[in-house]
Amino acid sequence: MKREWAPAALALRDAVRAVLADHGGVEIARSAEERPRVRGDDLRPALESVGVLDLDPLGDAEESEAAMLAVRACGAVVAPWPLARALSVPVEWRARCQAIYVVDGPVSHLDHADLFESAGAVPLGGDPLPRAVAPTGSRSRAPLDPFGVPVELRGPAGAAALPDRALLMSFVLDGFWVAGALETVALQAAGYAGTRRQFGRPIGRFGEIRWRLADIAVAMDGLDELATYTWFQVHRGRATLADALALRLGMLEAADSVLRHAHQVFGAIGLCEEHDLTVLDRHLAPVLLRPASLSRTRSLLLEAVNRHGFRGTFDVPRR
Amino acid sequence: MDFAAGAEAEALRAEVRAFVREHLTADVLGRVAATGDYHDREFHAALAGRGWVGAHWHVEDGGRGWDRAMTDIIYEELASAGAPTEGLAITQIVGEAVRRVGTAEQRRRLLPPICRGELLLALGYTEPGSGSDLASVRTRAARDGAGWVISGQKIFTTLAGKADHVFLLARTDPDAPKHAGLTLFLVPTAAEGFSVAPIFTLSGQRTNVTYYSDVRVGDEARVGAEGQGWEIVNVALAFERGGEFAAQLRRLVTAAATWGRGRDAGAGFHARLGRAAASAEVARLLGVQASWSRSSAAAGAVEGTMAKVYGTEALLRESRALLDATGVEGLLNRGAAGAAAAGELQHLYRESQIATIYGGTSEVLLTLIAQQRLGLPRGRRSTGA
Ligand SMILES: Cc1cc2nc3c(=O)[nH]c(=O)nc-3n(C[C@H](O)[C@H](O)[C@H](O)COP(=O)(O)OP(=O)(O)OC[C@H]3O[C@@H](n4cnc5c(N)ncnc54)[C@H](O)[C@@H]3O)c2cc1C
Repeated sequence: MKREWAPAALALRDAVRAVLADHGGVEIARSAEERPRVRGDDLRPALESVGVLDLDPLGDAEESEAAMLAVRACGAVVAPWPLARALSVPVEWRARCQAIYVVDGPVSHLDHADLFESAGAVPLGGDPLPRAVAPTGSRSRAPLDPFGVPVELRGPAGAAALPDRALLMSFVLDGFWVAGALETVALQAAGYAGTRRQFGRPIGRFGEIRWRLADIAVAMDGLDELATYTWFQVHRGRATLADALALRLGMLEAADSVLRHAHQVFGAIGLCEEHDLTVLDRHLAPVLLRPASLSRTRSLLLEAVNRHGFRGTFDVPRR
Repeated sequence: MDFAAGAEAEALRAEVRAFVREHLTADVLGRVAATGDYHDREFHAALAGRGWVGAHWHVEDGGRGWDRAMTDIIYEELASAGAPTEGLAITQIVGEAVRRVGTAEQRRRLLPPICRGELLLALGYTEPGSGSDLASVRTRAARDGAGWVISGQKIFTTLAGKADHVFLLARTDPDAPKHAGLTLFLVPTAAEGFSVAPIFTLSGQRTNVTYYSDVRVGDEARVGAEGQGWEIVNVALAFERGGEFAAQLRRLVTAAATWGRGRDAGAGFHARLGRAAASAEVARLLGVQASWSRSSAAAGAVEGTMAKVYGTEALLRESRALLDATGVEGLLNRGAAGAAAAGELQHLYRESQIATIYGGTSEVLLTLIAQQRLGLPRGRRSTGA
């Protein structure tokens, strides 16, 4: 077993971090709500400048690792340009398709759909032929869906079906994006607990707060491990939809726990719009519901396990 | 034992519901959304017009001498309809303190105008460095001839941009032990040296930072004796905690049920809705218990605390679960086409995040329950409250 990421992947991650920090970190997301052009005019070129837009998650291991870590770095500041959607497009399609959305059930809005001239949507468990995504109006500007754009799904976009591995990888990319965001929350919460003093001591000295921070750490590490392992399986072609949905379920549960505990650790200050936690919370909301909510993911996972079986500590045969 | 509310209470409930239908107009809701202030002058005036502000206070104070339980009904009905009630709630909390410790002159000057809806008050306890540890506040009030000079900064002074006075907790004796050197004042927001800056929160609600730079007030602004601030705040806080979150839960369940009715929402949604309904019922009953014991001598502090912890934790849990169950359409704004439950669920979800923090965090309140309800000794690192 080797548990280190390739040096080249780590180097790229650092480059992405640096370029995002230069552009303001979480501030990019905050400002893009008022000035949505920031996404295409500033952020996209910045990402392009470090070469992440060309990465192929289904390419060789090193390149795929780099893609995961780049997406994770974007998640860490909830960067408002959908790198995960762009990298979900198979490389051979990229000349004519800029983003792939995996969808479930009726679709009314998709994140950042206004940024692409041609994007495809692939329904879970349906026809794997992508359908064209057509924006039908302007951003809804909902606090919990800041870049949701009303769309309609039209006829087929291209003649080829999305390869299974690419569909599964789309879930893995979401897993890394969310893991990045949750790590920021975790680090900020732990840092705050060390500096915020009440009753003459840092709040991190109170058992109640230590437990919350420990719960955050366990949830974080659990998600990281699950995302990495699922990546490993998907990349090697050994995963099924059940693995991808198991990751999604783990991701949703981790996010629930981390956000809940972090809000409590920060108290009132974390609820102010000026605070990163509020921005991270709001900007995470869409990916926690699209393509499927926690309850929906649970039932999809059950269906997938019945269909494909589930390989893990206790193998479940398919029915 | 008889849980029935009585005909009078039921009649009042019906009257408040009719009032809401008439007065909680789209204009009122629009103003609340635009300003972020959960208070509306017109709506509040209409409430006062019915005699529903401070209705449980004595007639000579401007009230109607009603049972406390009747005011709770008014509040509960307003809150479950989503009416702006923050001004009503906060002003009554401060009025309650004035009723208990104010001078005859203060009672005359303040209480009747409160009941007439002419006076709006804000709570100025929290400071950037003093949240749960309220007794550590540093805003200073120093004697200056017959009056006082106040300097310092408060944060989360909700409604301070609209209020006539801030009920301010200040340190008057820096040399006394921390709980003993505190005094309360009603600082006019029109006073020179007072200023306010807005803070917007996750729910879209506005609260404020307030600054006091050498604000001069007369001694008639002092509420209660010098050095008695801590004691009074604790009584006032007891009145802050109660069953109001049951009303929020009711609002949540109503919104979700309405959404679920016209469609095949699935067994998962129904299970969640059922659970939320059960939580709403327990929260209501704990609120009733708190309300009942508040009218007894013990002031019902621990019962209110229990109702608050249960109601707020349930609200967080159930709003998240129901938002999840409605899926992405639940994220859309109020008024947006296709918004699940008309956008109510996402709004309640965002609003509920503050519930376990303000008016005492869950951590601090659970510690109090362990001590006051279960008689456990104070923990070595406990709040010192
Ligand atoms: C929307 C909103 C409106 C508000 N309106 C008002 C208002 O009108 N007037 C006003 O004065 N205040 C107001 N507040 C402030 C509110 O009362 C405070 O947020 C509250 O007192 C908690 O303080 P804090 O947020 O600073 O958290 P902190 O006290 O900093 O707590 C941070 C974390 O540490 C924990 N902690 C602290 N001490 C202990 C301990 N001893 N043991 C275990 N854990 C501990 C807390 O539980 C919390 O999890 C408002 C807050 C909000 C969000």
